[in-house]
Amino acid sequence: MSKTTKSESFLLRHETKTLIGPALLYLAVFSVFPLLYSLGISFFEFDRVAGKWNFLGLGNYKEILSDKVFWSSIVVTALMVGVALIVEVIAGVSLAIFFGQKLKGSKFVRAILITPMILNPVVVGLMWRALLNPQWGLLNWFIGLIGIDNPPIWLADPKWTLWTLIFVDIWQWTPFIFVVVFARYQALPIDVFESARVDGASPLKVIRYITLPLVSSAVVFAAIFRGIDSFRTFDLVYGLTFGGPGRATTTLSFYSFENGFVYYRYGFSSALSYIMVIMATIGFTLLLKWIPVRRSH
Amino acid sequence: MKDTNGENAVDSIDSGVNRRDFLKVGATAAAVAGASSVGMAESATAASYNPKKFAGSTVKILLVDGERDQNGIKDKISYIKKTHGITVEVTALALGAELEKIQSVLHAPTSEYDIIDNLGFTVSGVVGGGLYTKLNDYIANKEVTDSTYNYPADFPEGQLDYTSRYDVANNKFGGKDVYLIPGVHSGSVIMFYRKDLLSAAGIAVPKNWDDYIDAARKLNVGSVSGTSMIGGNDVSLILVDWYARFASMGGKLMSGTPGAKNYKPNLSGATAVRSVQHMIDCAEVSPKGVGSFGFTESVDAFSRGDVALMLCWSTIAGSAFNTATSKVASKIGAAQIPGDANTSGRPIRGGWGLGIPKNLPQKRKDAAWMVMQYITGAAFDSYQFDNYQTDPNRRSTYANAALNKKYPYLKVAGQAMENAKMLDVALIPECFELVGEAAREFNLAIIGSQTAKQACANAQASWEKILKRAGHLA
Repeated sequence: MSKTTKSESFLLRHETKTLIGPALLYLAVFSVFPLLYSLGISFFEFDRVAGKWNFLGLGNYKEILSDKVFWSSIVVTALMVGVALIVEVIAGVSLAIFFGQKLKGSKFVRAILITPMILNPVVVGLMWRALLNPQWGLLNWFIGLIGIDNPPIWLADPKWTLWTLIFVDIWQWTPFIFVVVFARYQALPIDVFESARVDGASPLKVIRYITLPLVSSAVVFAAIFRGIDSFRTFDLVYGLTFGGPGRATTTLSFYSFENGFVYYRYGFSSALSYIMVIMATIGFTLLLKWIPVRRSH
Repeated sequence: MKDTNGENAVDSIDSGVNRRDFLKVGATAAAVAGASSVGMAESATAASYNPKKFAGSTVKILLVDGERDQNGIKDKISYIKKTHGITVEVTALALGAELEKIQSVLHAPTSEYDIIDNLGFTVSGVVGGGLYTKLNDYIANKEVTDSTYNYPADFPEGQLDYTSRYDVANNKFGGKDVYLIPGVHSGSVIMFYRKDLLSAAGIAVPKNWDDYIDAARKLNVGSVSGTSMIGGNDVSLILVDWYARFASMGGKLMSGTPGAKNYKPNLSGATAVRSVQHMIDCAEVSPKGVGSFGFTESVDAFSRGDVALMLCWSTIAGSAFNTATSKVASKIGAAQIPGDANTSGRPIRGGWGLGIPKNLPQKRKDAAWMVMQYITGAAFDSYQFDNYQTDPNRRSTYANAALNKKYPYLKVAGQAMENAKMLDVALIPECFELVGEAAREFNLAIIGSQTAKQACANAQASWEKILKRAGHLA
């Protein structure tokens, strides 16, 4: 056998490893190793003055579970994920169905509609900070024009701040749901809808019994991705409210960032991140088991 | 063959030199060499300043963004290149990002940056951690330090013990060892006021806190708010507005020492509650939304002419005197912060210090010093202040007659710098965490979600928890 033939034979025998090897290596270096490393440091804490790690065992985890800010962050995160996701899904699906009508100018409007989701979340946060400024922001100016004299202080009133954050999140990420569902909707077979029309089904019945079941897989896909992303929300909080006022908008992700990168409590922050991983894994596994997804043929 | 001392003589060589003679010649040669080296050292010490000693090097500087520090340095990049032959690259990051970056570069095998600007409140963590190069030898070396450098005399003493000298062995500020040089800006907190509005209302510049709130209430007319503050969920709420009141009302923030594990906060006492209540009262005559204000919103409101009185870092609010950035530049005055019945105004000591990381090769450290002694020198200090109104570090700049004429608040800022008091908890690495927790509680009080007493009690509990965890309180 020639050398070239031997090499080819080797590659053929180890085809799978050869093809996925680079991707696996990338994952190992940039995903698996950091995950394992951060798990390791979650059992330690870094002493900046001495420049060394001190072993704490489960100390960080115990502290987290008895930390009232951790529990309040869970509530904030749950509200943010729950409310924002539900509204985004309803709005995104509605927009997808609406734009499916192929109205004049819809392409142009669609392009503007998806602009928010391509903006950097920190930029979105800062932009809305300006829009919501109580003295010169556009929103309160507009509210004043329609006759409301004392509009809320959106970012300084705990009653309003979380809902303001959720609103901005909805504004930015509804287009994501829309894009995914609309793409699925565009690919649906026309004959199903024509048959329904011939049979005399009303538009609402078509949406309820034909459209929604057929796009449900896309909706679930988009909702899961959006839910995971929403659970991790940090940059919008950083730009818009910095977790305040008080702890009104401190999400789990923001709390982890604050402890790691503002207070340099790397071990505590890693432990918190691991708890988030466990919560997200359990949560979304249960969700996938619970949500029935019709396979469309 | 033995010589007359009984020692073995060196074997005679062809030249006939014996051991004793050899040793004598050797000793003489050594003495001459020694004398020559002393002479050379003396010559080196007496050598003139060589600004091009490290020509061909590149020096990378890390600064904070948003406080105009990088502006003057960037202006002088070509001057430094021409004078020192050194290429300078400047990176400016937002405060949070800069603090994170400093941690990562100082703990890396080799620092990415040659000069790093350090916030005073973080000095105990970074310099105390032994992560910076001692600068005493550089300062003393006339070949690399201009004879006009004038360290330490030209710097306020209190500033030297905050962002320059540090006792690493005992982990405390001050001492003989120099690790940082004050720069690019320093600063303390002063009071800014609208001369025209006070004059029209017949109100004198407030000298105590009761007069301050009275004046603010009287001046809160029409579209003008009596006062403004950093009322948002921001560490500066504590550092600027709260501490100015607390310290000037005679408050003592901490008792005990970290080393003795009895480092206890005094946040729930009468003075702390009074100072928070004062801020709550001021919020009622502040612009709407003051509970979400950071620096920018507060200074912008003042520069727009919407606010009559304000406390702020003089380096941040210096732009209010700049006609390019302020509508009321000609109408504002500056004064020391109010005091109390028995206490004069005692502002917080702010400022930054430039340092050379320890984890650099010697050549890079040397080149870094050459650039650093320029940007902490008197000429640059004056330039930076004159062009960008960031607070000077040097007494000579504060005393400069021409600059004082152009910027009447300069003298006030200089006095504040001499009188300023270092934040007690800057001693410990948990400083930012403590200040952040207190800021959250006091912010809730300012927006009306809790009383001053509740806020102080919560902050006290939070601080005790952190101090116990860190081992500073038993």
